Amino acid sequence: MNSGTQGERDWRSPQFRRAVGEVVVVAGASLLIIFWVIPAQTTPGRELGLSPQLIPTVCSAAIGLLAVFRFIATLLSVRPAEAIDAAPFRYAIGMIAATAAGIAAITYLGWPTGGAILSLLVVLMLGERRPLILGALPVSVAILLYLIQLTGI
Amino acid sequence: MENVLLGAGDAFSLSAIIAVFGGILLGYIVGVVPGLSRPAALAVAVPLTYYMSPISAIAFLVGVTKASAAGGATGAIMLNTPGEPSSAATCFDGYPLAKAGKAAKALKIALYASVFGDMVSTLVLIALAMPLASFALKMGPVEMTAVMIFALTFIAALSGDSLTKGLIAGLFGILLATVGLDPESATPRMTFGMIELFDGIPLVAATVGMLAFTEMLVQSENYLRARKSGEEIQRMELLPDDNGVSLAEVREVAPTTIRSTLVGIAAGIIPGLGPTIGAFLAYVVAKKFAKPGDRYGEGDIKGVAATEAADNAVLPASFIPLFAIGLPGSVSAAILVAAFMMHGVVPGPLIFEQHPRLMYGIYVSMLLASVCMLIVGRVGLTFFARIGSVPAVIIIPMVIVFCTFGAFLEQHAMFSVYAMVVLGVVGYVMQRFGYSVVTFLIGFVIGPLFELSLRQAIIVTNGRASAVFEHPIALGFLVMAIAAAIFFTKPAAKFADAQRGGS
Repeated sequence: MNSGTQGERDWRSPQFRRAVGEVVVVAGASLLIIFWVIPAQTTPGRELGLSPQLIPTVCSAAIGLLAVFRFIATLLSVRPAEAIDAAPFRYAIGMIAATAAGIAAITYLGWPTGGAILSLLVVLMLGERRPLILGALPVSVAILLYLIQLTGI
Repeated sequence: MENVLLGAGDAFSLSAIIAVFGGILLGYIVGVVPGLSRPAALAVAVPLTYYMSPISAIAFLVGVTKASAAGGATGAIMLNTPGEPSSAATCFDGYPLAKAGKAAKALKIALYASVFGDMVSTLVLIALAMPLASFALKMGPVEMTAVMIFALTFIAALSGDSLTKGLIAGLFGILLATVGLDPESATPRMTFGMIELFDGIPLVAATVGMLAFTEMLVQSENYLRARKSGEEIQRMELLPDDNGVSLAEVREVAPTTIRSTLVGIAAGIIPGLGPTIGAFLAYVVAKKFAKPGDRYGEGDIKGVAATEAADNAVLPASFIPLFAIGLPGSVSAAILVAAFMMHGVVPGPLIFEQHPRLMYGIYVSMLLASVCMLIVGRVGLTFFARIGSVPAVIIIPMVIVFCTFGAFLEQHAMFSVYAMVVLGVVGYVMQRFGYSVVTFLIGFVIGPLFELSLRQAIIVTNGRASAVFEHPIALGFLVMAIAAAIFFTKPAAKFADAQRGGS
């Protein structure tokens, strides 16, 4: 939020944009849950006891308020901004995509074959190109899952 | 007495002993290999116990948890890379000892201190849990609600660098725990018409996704980054001039080990502190008691004993609030709740009345696990020092396959697998932006109990907030929660910085 100089704020800094992004996402999600998800997806209780909507609404409202409080506190903070040293999102996105594709393979081809495909995709995503590992790991996974299946689990 | 003997008999059955040994072996491997954390391994291991008897299942998981704490020291001593975050403080003296050619000595001291801390803490658990449970049975819903608010505030404050982010994560956990049928009216809540969600979000899928799958995403990021920057992967090696531990050295480290065990027990009982903080605190206390000639930070065996004794003392002590009031004080305890529930046992004060035989069996299994840990750790010292070099390119795919299979086993439905991936992605985003996954998970686990207590409290007090003044215990816990929130608002960030910096 702050630049290197104490008290001086750079509104275009990555930290400020990150704080704005956070409050928009968290508080926005909280409002969405309170005004759309809970009313649309929760059947109102009968006269018995407390409303089923009570706890989810209280939690969502508290999350929203805390997000706003945090944003204001960040704006007022005089702590120097920390450098953000995060890996590019593409690594995680690639891994999630490989896992999703592997799970789709499990759904359609069963555990031994699908599991082998899942492990192969993940290994490839990790940048591994050695034929021995690319061959041995999926085969080991397939054999292991086949044996587990044989035991009836 | 009959239940004690029956429980001991169950714990000494062949299947339970094999389960303990298997758990210890797996736990050591998890502890030694950097990047495989204890909660992640525990989350993956829970579904594997589905077909075991309750006593074998809990014994297996206790074995995994205990041994991973002990195994974490291997990487810390040999590579200056802790296998577990809680072993980070072991690096301070363990690595200098290894550089001086005394790696085997440091590993042995770490093992003996771990076993001592674990054993004493287990005995304290046995002595305290049942009397506290009897006391907890006298507490009403108002008190229980206040205790949970206090615990969640404390955990939120200590598990990350921001109290507000911790609270948001914990509340998010409680919010997701409300998905499913309403406990009073049995009407669906936020199920989006999916019958699979009527029983709520599957607990095992949530733990596996949030801990294990999230961690694999983070590990793959680290691996790819290191690969791109051309970092070399270190290898563990025991030097031939390593030596043993003499009786004089045992006497030298004994007072430090005892003190650190007590620190670890305290850190275990207080919700949220956990093994990492316990180990660092024990190291600080050990330094405070340093005598002239002690060389903390330069390779003193007392430094290794201090951190390892405390690290291992935390886990059994963290079971005290779990067994006494059903409140998981650490993420490992929260995961064990999933295991208990999978076997039809609800942790809490009634557990001693409803399942006395199982509880005594668990106690005996925990003591047995301490002895197994000593044997496996001592016999496999050289072996464990070598397997730390297993490459991430093998570990990550295997763990992801086990994540999917483990999530599937809970309900034998692909829905659990999809839920695991979705929650894993949510966990990754939360972690990336500094929202504690641990606090989320504890909120998710205590969510149903919290909702029940809060609803009962509102009914009992007719919705009057002022009624809390008629419940002094509840009032005390609420005051402590507010005090903790004020106290930790800024120091939490400082503490997190200190932990990261290893100071």
